Amino acid sequence: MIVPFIRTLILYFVIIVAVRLMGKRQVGELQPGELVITILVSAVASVPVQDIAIPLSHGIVPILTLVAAEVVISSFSQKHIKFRRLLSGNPVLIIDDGQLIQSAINKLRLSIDDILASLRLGGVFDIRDVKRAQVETNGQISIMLSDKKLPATVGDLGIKPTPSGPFYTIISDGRVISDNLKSIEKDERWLKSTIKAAGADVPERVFFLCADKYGNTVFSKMEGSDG
Amino acid sequence: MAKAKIAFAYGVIFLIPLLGLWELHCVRQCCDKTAEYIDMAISRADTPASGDATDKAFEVWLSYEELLTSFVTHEKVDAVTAALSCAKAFFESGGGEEYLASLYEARMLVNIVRNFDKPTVRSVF
Repeated sequence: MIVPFIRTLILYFVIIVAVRLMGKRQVGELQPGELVITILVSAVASVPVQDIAIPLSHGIVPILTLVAAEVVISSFSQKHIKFRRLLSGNPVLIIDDGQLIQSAINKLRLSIDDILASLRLGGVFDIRDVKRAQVETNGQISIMLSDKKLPATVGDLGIKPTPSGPFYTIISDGRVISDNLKSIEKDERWLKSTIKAAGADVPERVFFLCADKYGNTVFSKMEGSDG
Repeated sequence: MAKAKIAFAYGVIFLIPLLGLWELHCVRQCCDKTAEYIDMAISRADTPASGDATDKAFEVWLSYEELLTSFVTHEKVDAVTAALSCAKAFFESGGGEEYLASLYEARMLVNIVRNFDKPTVRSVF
């Protein structure tokens, strides 16, 4: 029992190193090659974990090789556009001025339902509102709205927006995160007056508080707290 | 950081084949030494020198066993250990046909281990 435990821990750390080496991309953003590597790494790692008669090197070597190959190929494709296109393909236009491009849709073997679902997930319920939509190399559909359906921006309306910065969590589950308090350039005194104004006397009675450096806050009191 | 990652990746790609060559060398060295003593034991099967050669083969094999199990599946390594230990036991109980048979078996199994990680068309595909 100890042997599989130790082997699993070793492989766990190898996979952590491998994933860190691959970078921070999320599953939804994986390019075809990266998806293949991710699936292969998990499959390769499980074999020496399950069978202790297989040398650990038979799991570690393929994992490191796969990830190293991925890093080398992605760095190479970063510099060579043709190679990148060969590896990842090109974005494909599927809607142009509200019209579906059937040849592209057939080539990608997409169903109309898939396209409509992606449009709906992108907040578009009428295909005529789409100026351009294309399937990106990672499989996601990007949508550009037609000019008349574009939302008005603050700049279009000529309004001076209320300043707001990035929000940081200041209190989470009754605990103050001091580093974030420093990030918004505020001190304990400001925190004390803010939570008092919101109806709580101590941070322990605050479930959630986030704020930006302009003093904008989002507050939620701890349930069952009467302070 | 990105450059370090790329350098590390290139390092892995160059180091793994080097490690593989070193592994091949180690496995071959161990198997060749063991096979030499087994062949000696077979050729002198009816003499007491055969027992010494079998002991020596077993000793050499055991000295490399830990290293071998890092590269070769444990069953294959254990099979050679078992065959050599049988040969030793048969020699101590008087030798004969069974002794010779277990030596031949050990010789064949050593050969399998020797070629286990050798990159050939058969092993790659």
